Amino acid sequence: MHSHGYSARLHVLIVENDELDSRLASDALGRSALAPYVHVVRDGEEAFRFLRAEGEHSNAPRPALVLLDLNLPRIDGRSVLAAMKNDESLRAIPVIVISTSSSDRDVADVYRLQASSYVCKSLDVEEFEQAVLQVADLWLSPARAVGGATPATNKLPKAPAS
Amino acid sequence: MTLPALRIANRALKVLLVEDSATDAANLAAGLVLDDNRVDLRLATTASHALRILRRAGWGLSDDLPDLVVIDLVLPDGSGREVLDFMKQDARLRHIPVTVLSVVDDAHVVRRCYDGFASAYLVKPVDPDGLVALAEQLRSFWLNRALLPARDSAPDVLGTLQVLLIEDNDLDARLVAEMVRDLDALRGDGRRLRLTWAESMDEAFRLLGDRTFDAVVLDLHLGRSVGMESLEILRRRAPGVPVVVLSGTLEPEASRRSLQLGAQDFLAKDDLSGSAIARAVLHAVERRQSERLVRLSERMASIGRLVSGVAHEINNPLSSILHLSEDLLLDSRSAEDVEALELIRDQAIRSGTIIRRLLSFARGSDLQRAPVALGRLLMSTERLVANQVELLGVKLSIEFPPVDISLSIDETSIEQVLVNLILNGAQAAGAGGTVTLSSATDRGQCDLVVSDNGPGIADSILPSIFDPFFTTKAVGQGTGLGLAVSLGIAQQHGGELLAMNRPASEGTGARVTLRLPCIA
Repeated sequence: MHSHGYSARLHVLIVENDELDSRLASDALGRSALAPYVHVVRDGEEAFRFLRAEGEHSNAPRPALVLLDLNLPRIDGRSVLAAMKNDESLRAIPVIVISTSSSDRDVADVYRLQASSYVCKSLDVEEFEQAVLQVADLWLSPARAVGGATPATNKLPKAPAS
Repeated sequence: MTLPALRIANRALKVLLVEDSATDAANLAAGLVLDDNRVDLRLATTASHALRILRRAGWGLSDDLPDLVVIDLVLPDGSGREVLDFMKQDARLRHIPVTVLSVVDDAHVVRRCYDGFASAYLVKPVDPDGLVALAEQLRSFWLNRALLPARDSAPDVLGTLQVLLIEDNDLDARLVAEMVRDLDALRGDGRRLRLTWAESMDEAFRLLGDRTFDAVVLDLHLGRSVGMESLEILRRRAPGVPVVVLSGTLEPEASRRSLQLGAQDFLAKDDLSGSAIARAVLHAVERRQSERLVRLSERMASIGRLVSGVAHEINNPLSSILHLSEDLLLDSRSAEDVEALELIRDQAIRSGTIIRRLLSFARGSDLQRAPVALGRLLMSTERLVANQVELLGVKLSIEFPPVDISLSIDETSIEQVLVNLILNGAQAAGAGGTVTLSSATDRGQCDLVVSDNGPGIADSILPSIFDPFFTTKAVGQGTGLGLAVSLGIAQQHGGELLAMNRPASEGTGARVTLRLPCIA
């Protein structure tokens, strides 16, 4: 158990296959006021292992926020989202979908599956970073204790933030 | 890959704010709503108020379906959680993101809200500036960064009949809404019914004051104003709108009485279906229209007879005045006399012009119809008015049709109508204003639409503007015949002339449509 090792910093999970995109997002998060720990996984299956603290991610903390790409190898983003929102222990983690798609259908599906929001990946790097910073501001601010729990693992899902 | 277009960019973001504190609501509104009209904010001060708005929107009974809901957790009559839960259990509402805003900073409460599928949980800053800043952040994110689901296709398309349903029973209202929704289109001509629901007569009158409805469906057994009373009030206060009465059962006496009081139709709830409602509404609207046309043409005929009689009587003395003043001008006279005589002559000419117009209006002078290309008509009209419009300091914008069509018209008189409409519009718009002439062709009809961005036509005079001699201009500025003559010309072409104000969403101004049948 690493719970005290994580101190009060929050964890953000980025589920993103594209290396450049995930690096942009984690850099932007690193510059945000809270500078959360950022974890990156590359596909939907790995995302589940992380969220359930299994396999190579057995020590994974519970993230306060998930940034989720829709187009992922193995299990796609929609299925990850649907499974999270159907899982009582994971449902409370807000999920922001970040995708290159701006199709009406994708947007509508994602909100029906109860994503917190949908942000379109901008080709403009600065704009993309701005979007990630705004997400961090709204979903990670200290006073806005997010996702139900902070430093605990998902085995202690209800540990209140102090 | 192209840069994604943010869906929200083209229209206002509709936000429903559920907040009981007036101070907090004002601060939130200050951050959410700037004067660019990009956020359309609706405030509910209690949970039940919010539920009412949402229930109605969810049933398709209003246009109020929000894009984003911001809820205070602690409300006077319950918890914001109830609103959240209600939304997430309703198939038509559950896709709408809900941001919870609360002073409660407790991880368990936060967790429970996220478990209930809140989009975000924000702790309310205690200082007012902090609250405004937070609202600005929300605005910026949801307007500029987030993509939201597209809304259903625009409800207010041409051919939609706006129907006001006055019904105090939730379930009955819902039943009617579902029946009507199941109707694809009416009679295959593409017309649709769009219902707006009013729970009480008071609410109905507020709605009737705000916008135009094609028909009213009235439940006879409304809580406070029972039975015929509500129908009588409605007929008195909104005499122009056809009414279809709903009643619990088919009571012959109630039915007879309703029709006597001016209802257009009577439906029993026992025996209700979407198509029955639609049929009754359509018939009511059409009957109303034809009654109005008959009344109008009777009135026109009598005015016509009167006018041509008077015109002939006046024509003779008038020509004497004209000729004699011209004779007198031939002799050498003092400057003062010349000025006076010229004025007499000019006024006689002016009066003669009015008489000629009156006669042509009363007689319905003969038309020389020939096929004319729409593009050419628009161009020649532009040539005719460009100078005068420019003198008024008004911009004239003519939208040429993408595909040219042919109209069978008397070109000169239709030009006269368009010139008349454009000049009216330009005068209403005033210096710095804009008048637009555009066209739309649909199902064998061609609409030539003149809109301006002036103050619009006051509701009180809207019914009179086509009457001969009706004018809003100062004495001597206009004859009050322009629109009446224009209407006559439109009718001689088998067409219509329709005047209305532009929908509030497009800003102020009048829109007059010359509708003509077109030939292939």
